[in-house]
Amino acid sequence: MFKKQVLLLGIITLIGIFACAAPLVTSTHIGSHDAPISITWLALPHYSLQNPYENRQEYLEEAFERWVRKNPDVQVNLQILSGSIGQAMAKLLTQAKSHVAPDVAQIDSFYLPRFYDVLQPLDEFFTEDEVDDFLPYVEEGIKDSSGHVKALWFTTDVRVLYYRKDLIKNPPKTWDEVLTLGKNLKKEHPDMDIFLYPAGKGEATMICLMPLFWAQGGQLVDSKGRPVFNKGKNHEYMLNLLNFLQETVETGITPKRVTSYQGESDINQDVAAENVAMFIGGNWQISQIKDLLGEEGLKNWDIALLPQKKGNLASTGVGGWTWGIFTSDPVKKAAIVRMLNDVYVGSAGMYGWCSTAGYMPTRRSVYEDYAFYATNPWMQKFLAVMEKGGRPRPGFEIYPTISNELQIAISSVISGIASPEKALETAWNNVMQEYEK
Amino acid sequence: MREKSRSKKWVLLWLLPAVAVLAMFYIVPIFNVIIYSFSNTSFFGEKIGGFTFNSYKTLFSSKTFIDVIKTTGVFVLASVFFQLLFGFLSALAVVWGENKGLRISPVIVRTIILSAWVLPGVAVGIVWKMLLSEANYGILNYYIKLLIGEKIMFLSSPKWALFSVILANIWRGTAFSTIIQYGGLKQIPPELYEAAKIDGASSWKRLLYITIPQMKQMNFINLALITIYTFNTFDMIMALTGGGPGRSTEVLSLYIYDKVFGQWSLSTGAASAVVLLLINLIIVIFYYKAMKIGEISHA
Repeated sequence: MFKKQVLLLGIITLIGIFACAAPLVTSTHIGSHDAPISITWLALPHYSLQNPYENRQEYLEEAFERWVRKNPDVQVNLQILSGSIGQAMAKLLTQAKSHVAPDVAQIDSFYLPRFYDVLQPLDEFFTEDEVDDFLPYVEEGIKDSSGHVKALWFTTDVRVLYYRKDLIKNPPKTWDEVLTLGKNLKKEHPDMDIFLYPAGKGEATMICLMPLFWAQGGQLVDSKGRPVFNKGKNHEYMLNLLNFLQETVETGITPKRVTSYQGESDINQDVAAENVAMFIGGNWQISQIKDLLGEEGLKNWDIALLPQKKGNLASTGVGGWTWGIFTSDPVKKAAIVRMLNDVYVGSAGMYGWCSTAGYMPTRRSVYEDYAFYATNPWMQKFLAVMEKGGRPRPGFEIYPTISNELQIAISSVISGIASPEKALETAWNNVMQEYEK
Repeated sequence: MREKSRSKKWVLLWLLPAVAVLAMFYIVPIFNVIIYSFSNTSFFGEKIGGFTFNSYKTLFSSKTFIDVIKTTGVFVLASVFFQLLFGFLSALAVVWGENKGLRISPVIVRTIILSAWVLPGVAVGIVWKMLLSEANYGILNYYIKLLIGEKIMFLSSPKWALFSVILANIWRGTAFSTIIQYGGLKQIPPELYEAAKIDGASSWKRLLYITIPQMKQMNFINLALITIYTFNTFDMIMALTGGGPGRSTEVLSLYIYDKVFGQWSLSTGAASAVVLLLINLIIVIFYYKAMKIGEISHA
């Protein structure tokens, strides 16, 4: 009987010890459950503590451990963003309009303008220098029409022309150069698909190909958000783009199957099979190419600016992720900004997160002050491309319809369903029908 | 009498939780969608817009929507016909094997057929995308090129792309049809076949005059169910073609998804969803009538 009592006491003591020693950082909760300030935080899995990538998980656990020891009065409850990005952002916006959004959430930079009205201003937490430290398009993107900082854009991405150095000595700068080079390469390598780009149903098609329209001076919408992509000079610029894409297929340098590429990374299979000489892709594909081909294989690849109609033009599509704060509670807001700065947004936090996860930082100081970026030739090349004409997609309500219709137009032209003129006319009519509804 | 009404009250009470769940997760959302379809609601608005037929007017005056309906019609008709046919043939084969005393091979055949059905639609789409790839590493095109000297543009030609999604859907959906028709075949009284054999009926005549008529009710039900499933197919097509190239494989379910979550056009998407709901309701009424016909003929 006595032995049983001792055993029971021992078990209770052990349970008590484990309960008291509960970790401060778990996959769903940060901080002590008794902390007075409670925050709800919504993030994508691979940006959160439920990370499928081991190195990111380690970085975040350490970063949050440090932060929570400095902020013992705060606890954070993690929620996960799931489903497709469009679906998740639609759900988040609905929650925000109904005043039931989490205190802080991850918002795709592409959707950010639609959240301006429901996000809290953050100007009080940042000096002018700190805001100026952001890349130009980032600084513009995080501010609403009144100039208030409404979000913290902490990772970005950029589109470039990847090309094989063993096949191409000088990367093409113009469309004519792409076609001439492509035709010559096709003669030497008839089984290879020379020039690839995403042209299927997906936002990658827009972000990779619209820079070829923008660089000519094209506008998708005017300053009030009215569609103008088929009006005036824009009509000519858009037809130029569609005709160029049609020519890449007709000359045989691009296969029609690019209409099945819904994302930039779909091209990786061709890279692995050494089936492509040049392609339009995103900066993150550098590490993917390295994983596929090894260091030696990566040496065969380089990047350049996207080829444009004329050599003196430059533009590239950019994206990335932001943090937006919905709570108006000043204590919570301050705690959230401290947390985000430490882990993702401040100079040191951004360096830690981006270098671990392989993302491009949005602060110039990170590229200058940290050797990982300052001495990395790839990073400096990407920075140069971003600064030479990084352009986010317009944040107006009609943009998703424009995007959808132009994706279909591009796909129709490439697969031969419609001529460039017909495809553009159909896209325009459908967009205007939705706009004028 | 009192006992009956008391037990009726208890029955209603026990049904209440199920009714509440159904109402909350099915009836209320359907009701909301119908309201949205008669408004100009968007995700950006603070509240639901006023009553209007605008969304339906936009929908039915849009050539794009009419094309989507046509594509959906071709997809459903072709898929349903071949699922019924191949389901019937495979069920016949399995029953024939069992009647011949084979034990293992019918089980293997049933398992193989069923394995297509248990795979998630997205997985089916991805697998078929790899099989039908037009790249140099595409499996099917490798052999086709050996045979005929050139590749087939399975996913980048509009006609071949529609053929590809129909093929993948038939591959996936035949299993369900097989199970239903297998069940139907097993229910046919063997005495009917024996009597027919005694009367000198050939296999073909037994098939025409016994098997097919006896399977009528089961086939009505099968037809209704696979038509509903096919109309609602989304995941497989999304993974395989995304609705492309152009709009050549964009069926109604993809159109709705794109309108609501791609273009954030809530009211137009809701109107399209109501159209799909009405189509499904018509099929359900057909299914209900088929059940009634079956009950009468069995009685």
